[in-house]
Amino acid sequence: MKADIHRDRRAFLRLGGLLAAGAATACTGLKGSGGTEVRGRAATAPENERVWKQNAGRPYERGAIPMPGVCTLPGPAAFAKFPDPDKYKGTHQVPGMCQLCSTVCGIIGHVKDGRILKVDGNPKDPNSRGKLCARGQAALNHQYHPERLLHPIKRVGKRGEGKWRRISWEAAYTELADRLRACRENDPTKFAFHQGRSRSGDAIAAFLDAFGTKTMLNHRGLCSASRRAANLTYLFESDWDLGNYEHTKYILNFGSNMFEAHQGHVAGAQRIQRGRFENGAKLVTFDVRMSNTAGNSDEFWMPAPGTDGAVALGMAHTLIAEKLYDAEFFAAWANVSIDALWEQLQGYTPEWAEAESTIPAADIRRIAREFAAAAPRATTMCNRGSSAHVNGYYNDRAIILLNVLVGSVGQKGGWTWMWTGGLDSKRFPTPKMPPKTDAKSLLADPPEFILANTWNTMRVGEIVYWYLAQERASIDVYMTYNLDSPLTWPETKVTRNVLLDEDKIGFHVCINPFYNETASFADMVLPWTTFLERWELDARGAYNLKPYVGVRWPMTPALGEAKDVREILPELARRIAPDMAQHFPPELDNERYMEEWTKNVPFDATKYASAMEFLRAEGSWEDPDEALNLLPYLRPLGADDLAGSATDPVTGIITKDGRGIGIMHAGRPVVGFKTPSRKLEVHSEFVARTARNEDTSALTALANSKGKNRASHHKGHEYDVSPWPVHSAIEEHANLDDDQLVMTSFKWAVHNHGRTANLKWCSEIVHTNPAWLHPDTAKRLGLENGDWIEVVGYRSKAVDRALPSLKLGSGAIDDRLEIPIVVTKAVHPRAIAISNSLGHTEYTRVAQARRGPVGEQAAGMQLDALHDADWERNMWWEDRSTSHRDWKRNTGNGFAQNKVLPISPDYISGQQAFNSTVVRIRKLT
Amino acid sequence: MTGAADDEATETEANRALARLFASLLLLELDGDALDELREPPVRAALRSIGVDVPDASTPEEIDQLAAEFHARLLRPESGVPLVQSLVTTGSYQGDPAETCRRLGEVAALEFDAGAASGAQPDHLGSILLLWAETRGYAPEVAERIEAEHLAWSLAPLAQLAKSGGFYGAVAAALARWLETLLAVRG
Repeated sequence: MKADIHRDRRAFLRLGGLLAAGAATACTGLKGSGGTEVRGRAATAPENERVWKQNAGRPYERGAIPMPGVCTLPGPAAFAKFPDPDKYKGTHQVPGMCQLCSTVCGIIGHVKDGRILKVDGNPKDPNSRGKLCARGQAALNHQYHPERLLHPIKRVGKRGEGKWRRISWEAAYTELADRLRACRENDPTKFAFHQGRSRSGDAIAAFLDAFGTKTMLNHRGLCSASRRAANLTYLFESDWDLGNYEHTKYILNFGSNMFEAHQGHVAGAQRIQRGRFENGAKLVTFDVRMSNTAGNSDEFWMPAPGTDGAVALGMAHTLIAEKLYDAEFFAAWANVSIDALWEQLQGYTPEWAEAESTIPAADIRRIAREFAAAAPRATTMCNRGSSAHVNGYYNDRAIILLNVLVGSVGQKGGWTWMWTGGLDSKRFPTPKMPPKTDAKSLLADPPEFILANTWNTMRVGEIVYWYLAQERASIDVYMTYNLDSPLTWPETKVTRNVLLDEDKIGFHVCINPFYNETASFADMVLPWTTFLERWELDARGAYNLKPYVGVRWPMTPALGEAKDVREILPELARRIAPDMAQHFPPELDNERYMEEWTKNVPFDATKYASAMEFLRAEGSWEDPDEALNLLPYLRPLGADDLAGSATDPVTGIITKDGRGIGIMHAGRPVVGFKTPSRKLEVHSEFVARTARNEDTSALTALANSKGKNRASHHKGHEYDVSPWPVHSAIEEHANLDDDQLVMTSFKWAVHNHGRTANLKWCSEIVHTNPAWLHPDTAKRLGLENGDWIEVVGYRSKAVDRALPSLKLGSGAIDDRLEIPIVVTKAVHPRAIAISNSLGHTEYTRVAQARRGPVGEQAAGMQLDALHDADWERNMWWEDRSTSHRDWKRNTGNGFAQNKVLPISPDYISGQQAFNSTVVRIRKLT
Repeated sequence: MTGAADDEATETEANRALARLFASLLLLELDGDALDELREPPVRAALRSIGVDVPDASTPEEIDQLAAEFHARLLRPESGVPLVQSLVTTGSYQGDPAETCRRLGEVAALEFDAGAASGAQPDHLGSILLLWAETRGYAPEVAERIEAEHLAWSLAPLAQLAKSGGFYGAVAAALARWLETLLAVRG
């Protein structure tokens, strides 16, 4: 052994001697040194090529090393000194905004030595008020994850083969710019930008407009299209009701899981609880599954899937039949008479609703009475539970109608909204943007869907890959960004096959902080910064009902070679063509851009030198002088507004230059609602006419807000759509076979749809997701807790009939899901509930619940000596089974429901019917 | 200078050069020029004597395949072992070793430049070896601190890498043996 060491030593010294004498200079960093000397010795690489550069700090002096202690990052070592009173000593606090879900809560990063030690909520954020959920707390996992993507990579094998090499940013930019330039010269709309979730819309829009494409795809159809379309039908102005929960006395919740996953849940949940504790508000929830919100409600009812609208219409029937509605409000602000509405609703008795939903008629009546008694401090709340169905648009229209009937619209404690949506872009305009392109895009604006892009940009995300599969469109260059469609999109197999097909997608560049499923199908992957490393002005729907603004700053330098799109896209633009470059001058770097963007944020000049400095210290700003957005329709019109206006003697609508500006109310000119009738559109002529492809320009002129004429390329598709809130039962839910159930989907409190299973602290809490089955169902099918089943999904007959051009068909889709079950009364007997978020096949080993080389290597190490024996070394839920027969409960990384979830868009809004799928199940033996 | 001192200086320079070679092999993919140099007969023979056979890759496709091996073995945590001290000892990036290495550099009036290291961390074994090479014989306290606290951790992951075989497996095995001799000399 000793002889071996000596032999080795001699061999090494021989090689070292050769190298020191000048051999292999390219490998030893001596290349190009030109014989310069550093500190009396032959220099290694020139200074600008050296990893350790000279002359930092004071010159070295021999002697003891004057090195102060290094602050320990949080980890199990803290148990030795827990709680550690010195943990935050010497740290500085940097405000920012979370982005581990869509809620974007204000955060504070505790930073020391350039490293983030802890992420907390920012108490000065007016929306989230210092609260931060488990996902946000796991931001450190996100930031310093051992599997962060740190370098641009390019595939060297076949697409999908998983063989990559690192490339430089220069090489990445050069190749991308060449490909994009060629695409732009051929057909710019064949460049598609596809985002999963973005808070950098300004930077992306600037690039796409300058490029000349409108093919900007998103997941709106998979998320909230029906709910938004229903809100816009009534309001035109806003697609997102916020509910003044803090001041309410009654919340009627249809399928929202606000305590876990609703957009804005951290802000909303705390206000609901304040409403309950401080005002005695009652929370009544209807959901097919007992979510945390349902379980923590005052009353929880389990309707049959897709029947929320029927329950709401039964309540509406009660409100009118028992004259509990607010007659004065309805007469003034609904665009139909109560008699006309009653004529429509007469058939929707509570008994009819009971037959549809299984909710007892007596309780439907009682709850309607309670809701009316609490009004105007009463509000509905809904989300995907009601809206992610093939009849979701009408479910939500029926639910919103309850607020109109009891007169709680816009009231304190009632059903409210904000005109800003998120960031107030009028008050805080971005620096100058390129002119908007008028290019058309079939993928971004598919012709079959009536309301998809009628008001706001509402893409029908779920049909993108189907269109490509059908060869109705093709993509030359596909840039995916923060997207995990192979996991989160319906019909996984369709998505994956299209992504693999180089005839359908010529070149695919993926931008993400981790190597996820999308990256595995890309040709090039670019490492994206985290939300703790980038710049942004941002805001969400403001639950305080007044606009606010928050910021993101780099709390720490980007890890590795990660870059943000605010750097990547301008650099590409500058390389593609001079006419693009002119919009992205190099001197407008992130800091200058932010200076310009924040210039309208007021600040105390006695304390801060600039708005940037103020925001760096505080993290957010809310206008103290802005009135709450309550009763906005009663805002009076002034003399300036009325100058040159005309008032229609029949409708009372006030117009100026042919465009609606208000309405006469109680003899006074007020703004009214920003709809064609200037009232709440209970009856929507606009929607019915849009569906029939009739000209709606007269209506949109009166609304003078959002709403567009149906584009000419939609004209091949005509529908007969009711202008009223109606109920259309989901036909395939009737007469189910014994082995058929309706599959519903849900999110956990610690996960978002596809981007948190890689976070150790979250996945340790929830990492697997057996299917929920009611005991009656299990008994009928001879199933017990822990049994495994095969699930087969079926396409919707109703969707197939409504959208014949898609050629979806109505049979079983070509995939199977094998999954264990948990038997629980917390799900409707007609339903099977399977969560999303889990079942990754990529996205780090934590998301796949498997220890890898880093964990395996621990076998030869002294674990006791490690600061942190956590991460995959302690992935106690790793599943080492080879089949379901030896699977152990609570192990593994879960199951991806989307394998058997059919592509199922609602033809009205484009909403993916996540919760309507009929499945057939079979016990696996 | 005495003969013994000459020998020591020669050995130090040889070890510094070896540290830079290994650092370069861990931090950067090999391009055609670098491969040509490593294939020069004396260097090739010396490398073979420590168990490293220089690949014959010469076409762009072959060099890409070698780069893919580099990526799979040294960059991609899903399939390989990024040699970063924080990852191995704390489970995540930017642990205490990263900050300690940065500060050790500062003590020797050296500043870490991630750009020159292709985005690697200051506690990447390649960066550590370069810091050691820069300070060995010039800032002995720093070099000794590196030897004491920032090298031994790498032996287990290098052994893991060595098992994977191929060119980078052989490099890992050789590097581990060299580090062992270095640490053995240190005692």
